[in-house]
Amino acid sequence: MNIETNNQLIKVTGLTSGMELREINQIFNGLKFQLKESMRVEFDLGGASSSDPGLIILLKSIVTLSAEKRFSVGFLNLSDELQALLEKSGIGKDGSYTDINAKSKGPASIFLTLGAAAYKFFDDIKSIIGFSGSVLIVIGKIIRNPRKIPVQETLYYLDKTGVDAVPIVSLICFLMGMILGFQGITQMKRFGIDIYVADLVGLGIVRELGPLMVAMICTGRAGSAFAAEIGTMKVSEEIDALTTMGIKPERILVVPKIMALIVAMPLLTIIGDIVGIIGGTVVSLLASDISFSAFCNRTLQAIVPANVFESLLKSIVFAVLIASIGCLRGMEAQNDAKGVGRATTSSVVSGIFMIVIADALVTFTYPMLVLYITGMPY
Amino acid sequence: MSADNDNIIEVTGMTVGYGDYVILKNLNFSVRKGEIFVILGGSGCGKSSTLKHMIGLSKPLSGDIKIKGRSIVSASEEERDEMTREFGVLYQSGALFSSMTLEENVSLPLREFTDYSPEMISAVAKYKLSLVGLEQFADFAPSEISGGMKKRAGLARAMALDPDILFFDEPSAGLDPISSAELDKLILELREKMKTTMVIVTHELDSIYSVADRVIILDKEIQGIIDEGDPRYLRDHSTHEWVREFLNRLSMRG
Repeated sequence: MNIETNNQLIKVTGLTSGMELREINQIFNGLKFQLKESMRVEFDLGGASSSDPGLIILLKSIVTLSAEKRFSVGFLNLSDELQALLEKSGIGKDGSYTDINAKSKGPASIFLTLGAAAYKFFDDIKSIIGFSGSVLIVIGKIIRNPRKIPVQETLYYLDKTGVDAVPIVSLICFLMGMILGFQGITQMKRFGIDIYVADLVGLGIVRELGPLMVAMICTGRAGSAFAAEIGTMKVSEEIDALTTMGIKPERILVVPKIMALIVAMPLLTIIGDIVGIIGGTVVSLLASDISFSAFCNRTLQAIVPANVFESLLKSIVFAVLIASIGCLRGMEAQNDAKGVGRATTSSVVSGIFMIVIADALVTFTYPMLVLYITGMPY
Repeated sequence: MSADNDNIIEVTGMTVGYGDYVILKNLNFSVRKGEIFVILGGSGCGKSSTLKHMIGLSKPLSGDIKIKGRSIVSASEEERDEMTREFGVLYQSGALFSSMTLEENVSLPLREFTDYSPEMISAVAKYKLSLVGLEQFADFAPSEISGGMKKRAGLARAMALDPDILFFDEPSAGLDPISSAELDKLILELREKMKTTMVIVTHELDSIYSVADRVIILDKEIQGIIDEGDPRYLRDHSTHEWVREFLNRLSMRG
């Protein structure tokens, strides 16, 4: 093989078949070093076999490089057979290059990227709300036909998502109560209003931290487990099997999970609220001179039934969201192991995100709801 | 509208694909009542996609599929659910529900679509398992049995509601030659006993001569059916050289 360099033109002649990849790599590196912008390289392919893989790799590498380094490529004595092979790789007979995978690449500009991300975000929210709604409709239909209620499956998930979560919920809420109590008492002591730490702990836990912490724990435990379970079922064609049996996968797979979580989460939230208040009480009593009875009286005065309803309402909204997102992500999973992993991660990330949004919505609208129902300000 | 006397499935002008991506164009074929019909072709030619369209898991880009005279393409969701009870599907992996025992797997369609008592459902499920030689494994979980047994259990579940048509997606995939031959024997026995129409998608040439009454051969290049007929006849007399080579490769191996 010869490489002749003449000013702006490099001519490669005598290319033979059967070159080893190491040899090809050397030729490519040599040409890569010599070729600069607006130069031209010509390959005389007269003696080359069209079925030689090494030759095709070399030509493809050079042509791909030409698009990047802006030099031109030409072929001499190109056979029809070799031309057809090169065209399959996006290489024209004039040495031009078309990226045949260009479609799969993402948007080119930052605006398109942002636009695509925003579109995906709103599309995502729409699909989560749509899915939650369709599942609630299915639940409504099932309740009218009690024979169809999947009692056994619901109890199974109630055990897994509810009973099994009691220790971790208790521990986390106890610690959150202690932290809240400690932060509160250290500040309030300075102003001599130690007793109001009972209000802070009671209301903070019941209205906000209790349902929120339980939701976070359930997202990590239940939401991800639902996504992984349904995603794996999708990979092993179990979802297809249900569909072709005429059974709605939502009814068999999603409904028991949502029903279980709708029951489990309010109960867990009540446990979390009580344990959280106990945690706050313990630390507040230890760090101040408030008596136990005074603290309890203040707590009972601070918490009104509407606060408990807020806590329970939030937990039910969160339960529907967590179970729906987990199941939806599982249903959307790609049919491979990576897809299941992505679905699991996405169920947790989207779950937390949607919980925070829903929490804000309920927190801001609940006082209006109370005012509307009772006629009294919250 | 009733189906042609002989044809239980009729596919007309079906284009197989997803979105803008077309895999196969203008497919026209029919499956006769009681026959074992094989959809054959190389890897990636669209066999499994064709099956997915036929069983209503995906909608064809154009064309129609009629099962017992009713279009599965234009059927409403409820009608499609009802139509799916007329056929059973054996998936490549068996697709057994991992949280259930084999008996519970086979019982599921019976629990969903019949008014049988629990005792009756259990008896029917055990009978179906006995047809595929798995009665003694009724209480086993899918994870406790072999790949071949999973496929047989999947077949028992597909037969639970005594469907008129059974679809098989690559039944021999992942099986050793002996298990594969046993499954072929089972397919023939079941056809004999139950007179079920069977549609089998495969790229395993080994089993087609033992089970197939008729084959269609799909080709990636022409994006359609390259030939159709009795596999033994096509092996020697197909007008397409590629088909003769494809089918003779089996003879050379066998």
